[in-house]
Amino acid sequence: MDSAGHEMKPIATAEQIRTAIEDLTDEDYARLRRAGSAFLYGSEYTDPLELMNEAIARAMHGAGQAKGRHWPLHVPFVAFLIMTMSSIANASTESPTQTLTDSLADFVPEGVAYSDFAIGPLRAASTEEECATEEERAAESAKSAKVFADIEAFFANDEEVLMLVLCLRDGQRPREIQESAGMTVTQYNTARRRLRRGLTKLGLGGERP
Amino acid sequence: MSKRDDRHDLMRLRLLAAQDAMSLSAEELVKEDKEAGVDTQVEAERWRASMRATAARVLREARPVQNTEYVPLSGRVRKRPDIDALKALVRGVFAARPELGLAFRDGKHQSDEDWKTLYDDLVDAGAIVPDEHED
Repeated sequence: MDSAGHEMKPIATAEQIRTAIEDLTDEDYARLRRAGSAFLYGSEYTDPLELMNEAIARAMHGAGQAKGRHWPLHVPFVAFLIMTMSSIANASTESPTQTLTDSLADFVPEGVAYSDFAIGPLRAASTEEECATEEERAAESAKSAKVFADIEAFFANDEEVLMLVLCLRDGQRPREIQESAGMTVTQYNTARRRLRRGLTKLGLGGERP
Repeated sequence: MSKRDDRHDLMRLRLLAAQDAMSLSAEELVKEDKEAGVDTQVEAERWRASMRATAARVLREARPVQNTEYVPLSGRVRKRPDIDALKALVRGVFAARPELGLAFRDGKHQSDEDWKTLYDDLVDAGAIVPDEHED
């Protein structure tokens, strides 16, 4: 156990990360491409591969270091990469010291505990940096509000997706969304698929998934 | 809804989309790619190569230098040989010293960046004498 009371789990070395890249299947890459594409809209990235390479760079920097983005070896590599890409896409809209909260517990990939990803920020900011970025964060907040307005406008004619978005913004978890929106499992899954495709279209300007 | 919630909700929305990506079967992935005119296999190899190169670049840039005045031998080499000669040199070292091949991953999937890193490592390890091969 470390000083914060967390159980110390084995962290990947740089060579293990390189081996894991080689071991990913074509389907893994296809899923990563889709997740990365859905993260683009509202971020500073325009290419999912660019976002992925940033995730790889952060992971390599964290390998064998006390600080940085660590891949806990018990977490599937694909899940780790998705969560790292998500953190990077959200980095400019997060407080530098903010970590995942309970409300994200149901949003991590299936079969993985959200606590696996509550492994510290991508970088630590100094007090000076935090003060200096206060103005930037206010600007990012306004940007996030606009991103949501754009998303809601995009799905204006899709009641199910709009309901999914509204329930999520109401603080509901996936299972609660399905229940309160009165959707069947199939309706929920297809609405979620249209949401993902819509975000991709917004992020890539209508290009491939 | 506060602005802070907007930022947080955006992260949750993105992860919800990622959950869908994770739920797709291999057949659905290929079908969706085909509809979009994407070759799943070609695209996977493009990503793999790019990620491999990124990992190799970070390794090259992140080499620890404990003494600020110390420059590793590979850093003092004026110029590496061209890439084909460099590969031939590295292969020659492994042929002569097979025990080093353990770290070479059978020579498969090596990007040019990998080859350069490997060459520098062998120079620093004394297995290649750079003066003999500089351009």
